[in-house]
Amino acid sequence: MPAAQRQALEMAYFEGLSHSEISAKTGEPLGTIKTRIRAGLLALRKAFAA
Amino acid sequence: MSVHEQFAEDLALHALGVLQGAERIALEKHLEECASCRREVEQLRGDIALMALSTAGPTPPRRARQRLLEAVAREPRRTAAPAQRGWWTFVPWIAAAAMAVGLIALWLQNSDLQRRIAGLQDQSAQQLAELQRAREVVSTLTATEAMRVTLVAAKTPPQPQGKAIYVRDRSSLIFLASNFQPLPPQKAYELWLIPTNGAPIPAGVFKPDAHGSATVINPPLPKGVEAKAFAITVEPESGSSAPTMPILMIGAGE
Repeated sequence: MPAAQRQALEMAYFEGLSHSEISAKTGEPLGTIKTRIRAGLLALRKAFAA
Repeated sequence: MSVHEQFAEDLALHALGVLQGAERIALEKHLEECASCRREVEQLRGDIALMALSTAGPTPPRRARQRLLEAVAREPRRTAAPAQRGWWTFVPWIAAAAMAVGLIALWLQNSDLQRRIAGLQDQSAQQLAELQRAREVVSTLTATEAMRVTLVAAKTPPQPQGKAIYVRDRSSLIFLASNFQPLPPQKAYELWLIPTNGAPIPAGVFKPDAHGSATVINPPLPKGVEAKAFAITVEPESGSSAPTMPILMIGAGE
């Protein structure tokens, strides 16, 4: 999993930050954060299913 | 499709519980209507739950275990509360005491019995010796090979002679005969005890041997009869209940 995806996912899950908070913290656009979180989750699902 | 695509990213955020504000309201409204999106949220929540397992969690400091064990050791030990004592807790003690008393009683009884056995052994040895002497006396009196000599005044031919020794209290009678004449077959001599009162009592039937000797020892007699005299008659071999005259020999006690 790309580091950017993992970081976004970890911040949302372990730190309980909202996507806007993550966006503010990382300086990435809101849409990018959303996409990264979803992509990260899907990647996880794939990994668990494997 | 385009609607689902629009919500796809929000679904992930919603499953993570970080979707807020108007976006969350809009998504929740959509979820009420869209079963496939609800399923997707459920699936994403499952994935997220699995993600929780991927974390190792904080590692406790190395000293933590040691500190915990030391704290446990320092903890004051709780002493066991004294158990409630019911009467049944004394049952084993009572039983043990009863057994001890029983043992002592048995030991006393045992030593007493041993003393008595020792006494009886002494007594028995004494009696055995006495019995041995008595047997020797009787066997000498009754032995067929015994030499029997009747001493009479010199130059007097030997006469038939009978000697009765009677102990009234024991009803014991010993009679020794010597120099008796032989008798025809089916005949025998009979000894009679003549009491102070009443009829003569049979006191044994005997036949002399080749030397004219015979012995009667303890014939059956009634108890404690006072004897005035003893007499001898000739009777049938089986004996008689009353003497047949004549009386051959008679002797009175001194």
